[in-house]
Amino acid sequence: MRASTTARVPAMLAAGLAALALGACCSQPTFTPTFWNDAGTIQYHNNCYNYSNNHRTDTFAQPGRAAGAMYAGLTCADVLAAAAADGIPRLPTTGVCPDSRDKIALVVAPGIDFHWYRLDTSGFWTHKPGATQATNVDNSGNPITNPETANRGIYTDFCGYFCSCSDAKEGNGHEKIN
Amino acid sequence: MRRSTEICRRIARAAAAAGLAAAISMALSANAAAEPPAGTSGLTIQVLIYSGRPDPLFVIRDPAQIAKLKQLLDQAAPDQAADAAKSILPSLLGYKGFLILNPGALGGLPREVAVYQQRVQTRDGGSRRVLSDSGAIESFLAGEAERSKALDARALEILRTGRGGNQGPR
Repeated sequence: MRASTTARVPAMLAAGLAALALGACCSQPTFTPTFWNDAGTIQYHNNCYNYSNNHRTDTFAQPGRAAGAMYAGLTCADVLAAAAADGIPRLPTTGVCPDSRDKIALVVAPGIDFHWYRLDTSGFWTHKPGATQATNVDNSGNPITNPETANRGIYTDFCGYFCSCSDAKEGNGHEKIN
Repeated sequence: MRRSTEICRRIARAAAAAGLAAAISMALSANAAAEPPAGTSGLTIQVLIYSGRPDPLFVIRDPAQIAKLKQLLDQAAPDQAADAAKSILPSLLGYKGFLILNPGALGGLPREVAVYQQRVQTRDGGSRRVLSDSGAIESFLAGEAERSKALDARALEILRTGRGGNQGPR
């Protein structure tokens, strides 16, 4: 028992240091679209990056902008590098986000745009296409069980998964995006 | 995981001051959100085609075009069955309508108008209405978007394809 506890100390220390850096604890969000779907300021000024990170900024947040390293091109490589600059790590090879972080996914319409999804406590993926409402269905009207196979329209490139420090309270995610 | 979350919470409480500073910083950045490019001297039209990057914008300043838009809006009929608190814009990847921003209340138009296909939603202060038309307002705005040169070839293709109804269910 003691050896097991000792083995966990580095992980617990890392979790604590991560919390210290973020000034908060991470948790997985529920699907609460009414917060975002006000047909007004919140809906029109928060995009898929805001929604997937569960962080309202009212600035139509752009990957990398908060870190002064915005994406140079609309490719998977450029947008994921920008998200990394914002401090949002890639999903580890274990397939599980550490420290109660939430799994989010990036897709790209090459040369045109990017889009993000988030995983909610329900086990389904949800998203917010630009200035429109947050939703739990894809372009075919189907619930999203897997963003890799969902109908994504022109967003044909699946770029990968990341781990965001979200929050159970809607709009209060802890990643520093802008 | 439960134990690490507990430690996380304890340390986070100790870092409350840092969190407060971050919150102030975020609030300041929210207040710094850009004003529409036309300000109060014209109508700013947002073409809703992107999800992540900012949508293309163009401006209508010509009084005759503003009057034409007002005429089309006056011809639209109230949709009594619609829930005015719910957005009429579809949650799709691709074309999803137009948003007219009119902070100066020019031409007697509402301060905010959302348009998608045959549906129109207006917002003026706390007052919201949903209207129906023949699609004339959307067609007018699509024509103005093409004339404005604000959309590149790919953006125009998304607009045309979306208005053609090839994106799936609405």
